[in-house]
Amino acid sequence: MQTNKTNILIVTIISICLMACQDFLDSKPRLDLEVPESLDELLALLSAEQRMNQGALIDIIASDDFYHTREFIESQDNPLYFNAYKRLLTPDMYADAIQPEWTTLYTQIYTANFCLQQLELTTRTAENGSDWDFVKGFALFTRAYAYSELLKVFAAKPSPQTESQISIPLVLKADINTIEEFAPLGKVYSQIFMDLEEATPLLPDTPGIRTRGSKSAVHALAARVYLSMNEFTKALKHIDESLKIDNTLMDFNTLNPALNFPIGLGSPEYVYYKFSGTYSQLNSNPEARIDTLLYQSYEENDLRKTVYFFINPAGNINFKGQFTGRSNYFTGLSVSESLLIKAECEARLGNMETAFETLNTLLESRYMSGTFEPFDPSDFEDPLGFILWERRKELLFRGLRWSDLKRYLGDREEFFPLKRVLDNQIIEMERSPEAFVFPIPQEEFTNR
Amino acid sequence: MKKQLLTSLLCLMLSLGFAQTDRYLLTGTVKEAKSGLPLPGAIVSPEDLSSGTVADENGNFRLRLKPGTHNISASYLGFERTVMEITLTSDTEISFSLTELDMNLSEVEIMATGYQEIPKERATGSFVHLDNELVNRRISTNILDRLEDVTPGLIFNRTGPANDPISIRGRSTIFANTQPLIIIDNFPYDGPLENINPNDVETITVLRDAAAASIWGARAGNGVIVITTKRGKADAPSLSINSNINIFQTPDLFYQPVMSIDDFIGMEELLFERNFYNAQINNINRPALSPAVEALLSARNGLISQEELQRQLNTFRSRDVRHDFTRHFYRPAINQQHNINLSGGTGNYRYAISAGLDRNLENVVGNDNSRYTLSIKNNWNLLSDKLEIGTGVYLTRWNRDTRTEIPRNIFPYETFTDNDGNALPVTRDYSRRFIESTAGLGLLDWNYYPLKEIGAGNIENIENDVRLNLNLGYKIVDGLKAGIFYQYWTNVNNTENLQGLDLYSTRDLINRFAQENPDGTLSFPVPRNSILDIQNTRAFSHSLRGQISYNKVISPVSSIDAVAGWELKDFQSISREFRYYGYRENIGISQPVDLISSFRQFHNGFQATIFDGTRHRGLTDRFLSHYFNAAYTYKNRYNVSLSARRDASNLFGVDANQRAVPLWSAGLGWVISEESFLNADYLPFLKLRATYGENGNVDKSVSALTTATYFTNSAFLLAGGELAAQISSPENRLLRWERIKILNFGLDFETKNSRIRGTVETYIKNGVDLIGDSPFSPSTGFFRARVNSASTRATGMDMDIQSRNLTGRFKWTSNLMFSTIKEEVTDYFFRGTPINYLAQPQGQLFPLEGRPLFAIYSLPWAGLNPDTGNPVGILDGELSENYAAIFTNTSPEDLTFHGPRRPQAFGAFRNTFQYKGFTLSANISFRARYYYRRESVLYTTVLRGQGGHADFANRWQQPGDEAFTQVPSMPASVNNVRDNFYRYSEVLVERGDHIRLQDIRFSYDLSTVESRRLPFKRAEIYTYINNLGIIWKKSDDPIDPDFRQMLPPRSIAMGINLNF
Repeated sequence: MQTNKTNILIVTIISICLMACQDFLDSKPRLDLEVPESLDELLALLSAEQRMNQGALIDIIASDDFYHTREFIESQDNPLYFNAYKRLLTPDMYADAIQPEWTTLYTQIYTANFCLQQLELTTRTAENGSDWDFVKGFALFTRAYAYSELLKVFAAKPSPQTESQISIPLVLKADINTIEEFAPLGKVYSQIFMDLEEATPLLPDTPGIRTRGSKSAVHALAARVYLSMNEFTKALKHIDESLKIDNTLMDFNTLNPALNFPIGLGSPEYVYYKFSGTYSQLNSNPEARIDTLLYQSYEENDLRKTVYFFINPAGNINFKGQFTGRSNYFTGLSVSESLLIKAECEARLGNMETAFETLNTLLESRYMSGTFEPFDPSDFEDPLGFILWERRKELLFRGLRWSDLKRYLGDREEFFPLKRVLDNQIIEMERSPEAFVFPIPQEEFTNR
Repeated sequence: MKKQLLTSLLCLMLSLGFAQTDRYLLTGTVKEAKSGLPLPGAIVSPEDLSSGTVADENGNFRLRLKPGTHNISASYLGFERTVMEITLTSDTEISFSLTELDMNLSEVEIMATGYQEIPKERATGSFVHLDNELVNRRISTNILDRLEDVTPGLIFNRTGPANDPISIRGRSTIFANTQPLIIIDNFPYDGPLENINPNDVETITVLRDAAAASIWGARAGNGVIVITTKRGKADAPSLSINSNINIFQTPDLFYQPVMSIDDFIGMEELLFERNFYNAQINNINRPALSPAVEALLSARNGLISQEELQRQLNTFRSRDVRHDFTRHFYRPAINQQHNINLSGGTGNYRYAISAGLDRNLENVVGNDNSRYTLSIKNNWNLLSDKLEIGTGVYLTRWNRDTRTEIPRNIFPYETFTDNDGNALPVTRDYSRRFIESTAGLGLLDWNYYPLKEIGAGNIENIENDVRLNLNLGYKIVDGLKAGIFYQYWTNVNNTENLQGLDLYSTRDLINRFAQENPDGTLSFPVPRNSILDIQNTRAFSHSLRGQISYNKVISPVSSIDAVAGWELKDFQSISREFRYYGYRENIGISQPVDLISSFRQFHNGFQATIFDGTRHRGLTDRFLSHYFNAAYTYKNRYNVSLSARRDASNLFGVDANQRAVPLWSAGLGWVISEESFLNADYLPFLKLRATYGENGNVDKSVSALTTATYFTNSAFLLAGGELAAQISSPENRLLRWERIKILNFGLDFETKNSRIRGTVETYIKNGVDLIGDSPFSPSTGFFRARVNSASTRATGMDMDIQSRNLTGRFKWTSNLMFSTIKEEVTDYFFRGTPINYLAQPQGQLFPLEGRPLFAIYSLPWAGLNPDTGNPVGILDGELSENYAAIFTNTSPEDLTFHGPRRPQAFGAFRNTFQYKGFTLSANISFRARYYYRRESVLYTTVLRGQGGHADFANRWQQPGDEAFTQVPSMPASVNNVRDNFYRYSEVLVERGDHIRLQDIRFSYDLSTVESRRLPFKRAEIYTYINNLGIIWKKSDDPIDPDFRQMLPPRSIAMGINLNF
């Protein structure tokens, strides 16, 4: 009797245990934690706008779109900011801070690589085919864009001389335990074009939301990168493809220049949305002043003069032409950039008429209705110079100036030398391609 | 699964019903002959050893014996063995009175582990026992506070992150859970500890080493605190009432030394001259400017005259907003605590019922909270004592009302009232010029009146906590017992935050979203009514344990105790947040708002969307464990203990076979005083103990797979509202449990007549496989990741000594607790920059190999430059003012390491004096061998018009000043590196060593009064004064080394304790 009861007890306990063990411990510890596997989960990773659509800003700080007074810059305590402003691109310029662009962009590359890896584990079927293709194309586009941003900041201008130079690590796998070697510059560029080419057939003409990849965006990015390499024919070919799809312009006459940010979020000119981070010293700071001569180069009937700028109570000119509705700058792909790429390429390839036709299309939307008189190449001694100056005027604070300056070096002398004036002290930047390369942050080397 | 479980339980119950017996029940108590106090742990058995038992915590025992004559013996360490002959013809009750062997040992302590209760004499592990008197010595709402300064080895941390308020023998983890496991009545408690009414607590046992804690396995790494609540006793009903009131000092807002108002305004004038404010004056964000700067601006713009400016500035100089805060916002906090306890029982049934009320008025006017607790505990012995049933019901309810929020970021010379006491607006988020320009536009009043905010809030929090316990114990044969323990716990927490238009924050939100229509009128996307935020959290847990225990008395002086069991735990919580706009409380209607579109903000034109306020969170914590524990006592003098436990948990993505961790411990005890060779009169008790074993810890925030956290994009983004995710941790196939290996030696002793008794222990704790940050090249996608890569080591000593100095009519007892600890991180791979180690930023940890986790480092200091007042450092052995180079050329190892930020030695010295019914006890606590960094002036804030430390007044101003000050001169412009050099130089590092008079308790026991006119058995009135202050400290710094921001308020409590 006694043993019988003991047995019952033991059997009961064991049976409870066995029943319970089955999947009791498989439940996940946090509701919002998940291994991304399905297509919509991978799409979610690529859709985290704050993380995936953030581009570089440090190149804008070092460009010549604005200036500070000596008083102001000396009151700043962020070494990364004031060194970038003064264009002192030395290895210790970031001081102790983790370099934000390097980390952010490689995180985007990791995410894209992870999605591409996970896609290999997901079978493409007739049902999921279009989604599968979209995620793959989007991931490839994301990776290519991130590499193009990295090269803009951390590499020299591509040329036959620099092609074999060691540039940045080319990471194509999401594996934290493998550290890739620094790759030759040419190899990184080839990878960008390979990714874009592979992405083209996978993506739709336009995406539902402009934070995502599309055929139009792939071509616009390819054109932007070819332009930075002075490959005008290729750039023109791609930009024409993009302009076939996206060519809507915003009529500046419909904007209210009295607003603090006349161009709100969701401009019809977006091809692909990318924004820059912010620094309190720069974004919406009245002490980030615009050069008076640049400001005066906008004609009185040019609406950009009031849409892009305002004169603050202290009498200084400030920028308010962000295409984001807030103080972050829009640095993505847009129709206005596409038209300017086309205009420049046509001009450089000798088709001056088409170039000006394209430029006039853009400018007409920027001028007060009925007052715009189209420009003609014959009006100018240096028509290309005019196009480039119009490029400067349109694409202010758009993250394009730094790579433009790199390619103008030795080509368009009017933009040089680059100077920072701190009262009596004038810091003049060296005129060599290497001078435009931001140092690779220390943490990349120490942890290899 | 639940259904199957219930069926099984039911089967089990039925199977037990058949119990029958042909034996009689012998019950009784074992008492001390002299005092009549019970002797828990005494061994009672027939001479033939056919069965035997151990007396429980009340000295009660029960034996089932065949009819006939038996010689029953009762024995206990230090007492003469007594044998009684009884003839059993029916159930019988007897009583043993054991006479002391002239050794006068103190009363017996029972150590509870949550699984077993072990008399101290048989324990091998490291236990600290707090009896009821000690638990009740301090007056507090919270039970945990009562452990402070009475528990050797346990310290309340006053530096370091807020998530580790207490440590038992240091911190053997870096990122995983840092807090001890809290056990209440056999099960880990999942709710917040403030839900436990201290009046319900009988004793607390703290488990410090592997042998004591390893029964709790993977959650025992930080030590275990076992709380045992009051149980009924099988005698006449007893009623006790405890009631007290505790009054706290109003916070002293003048405690922190800050720059004088004169200096503050002086700086503003200087900065205004330098055009520093231009960036803010013209900023489209309309940032707030101080009243003085606004006045200076008005004067510059010719709006006011110079005389008027000076008049205004002089008014500002005469004010101090801290007076207004003290007068209007603060009051003395008052806590009331009332409790009533009823317990009793008859033969087979015992009960304990307790009801408590705490009513606390906080020190901020308008904020208060109340706690209601009710507990009912029943115990039955059924089926001729074979079946024990215990039930417990514990209910707690909190009502917390927050009606006032303390205004933040108010300029120091603002005032809240005019001369007639009317509320005045003060500057807060926007400039006065902007606020004034909005008048008459049709917006809600955009002014911020601090006085009108008092009591205007309405945050109502209600928390209900329910704990249900069911214990079943069944004696299968003598010595073999099966038990099932079950606990259900649930906690429902609701917060409603009704933000009416009385609140500035509501009006501000509505105004910011106001849109100008083309016709000049305004529309309001956020409706002009209240905003209601609702947050509710529902958590529950099931804990189930099946256990078999075996106790066999082998001889009158030898016994074996073993338990083995299986345990399951399932904890889940889900929390949801909602927000309603345009809420009208009188009709209960809210309005939908457009959460999708972006609206231009009225003040700066930025596009923004209306905050959604919806959020869902869920947690699941599951454990499946098996455990075994055995202790063998031979000849009352040799103890051996063994313990093993295997825990498996729902670690995310870990392969099934790696989810579990086996943990174990072993211990030896030797009562030397029982050996014939040590037959010393003066040392009647001496015991040596040694244990070794492993405890575990887990960090559930890391995962073995590449995991992502999901969210929706913020509405103000282009892809607002879209599902988004980000990778939270990369793949880590080698993820495993953290383990803490502990070696412990202990020595217990007691001299004749218990004049001096105590315990001394030393230990070594090695944390291995700890989760730590490892650095990665950012090109991999991560610049650091958490892996099992770190280890720690702690060595220390804990001492607890009681001495009875005077034992006559005037009694004097001293208790000394003294602990030392030396901690270091022995392996750690992520290396930060020098500034990381110097600054130790909040929320981040930068351990350095070979140093304690919390350490103070500094840079060498070479005084001030006599010509400029610049701080001087040392670079490559030379004096240098190149601060940037000093930082870049110093490696973390080159920094001066002073020592830990947490005390390496601490303790308390408590003296208790008794005369007739009067008892006076005072606790003096001390902390030593640690460092802190003194605050001083930072010109980065001064030169931005944000004020700073009072050291500003002592700064170097002219050559010669360096003779009596170490405070650098003010630089011409902001120089962060120079500030950082001074801030982290050795000149600001101080020793924290100090002694403080922690508290005094004075009580009078009325029951000793000869006249028996009083209607109660015992009555005590008491008063308790806490946080009396520092007696001595090593540093000259006038601010308390442990409380840099605000002193803990002094408090005085008065109360009465009645027993009927």
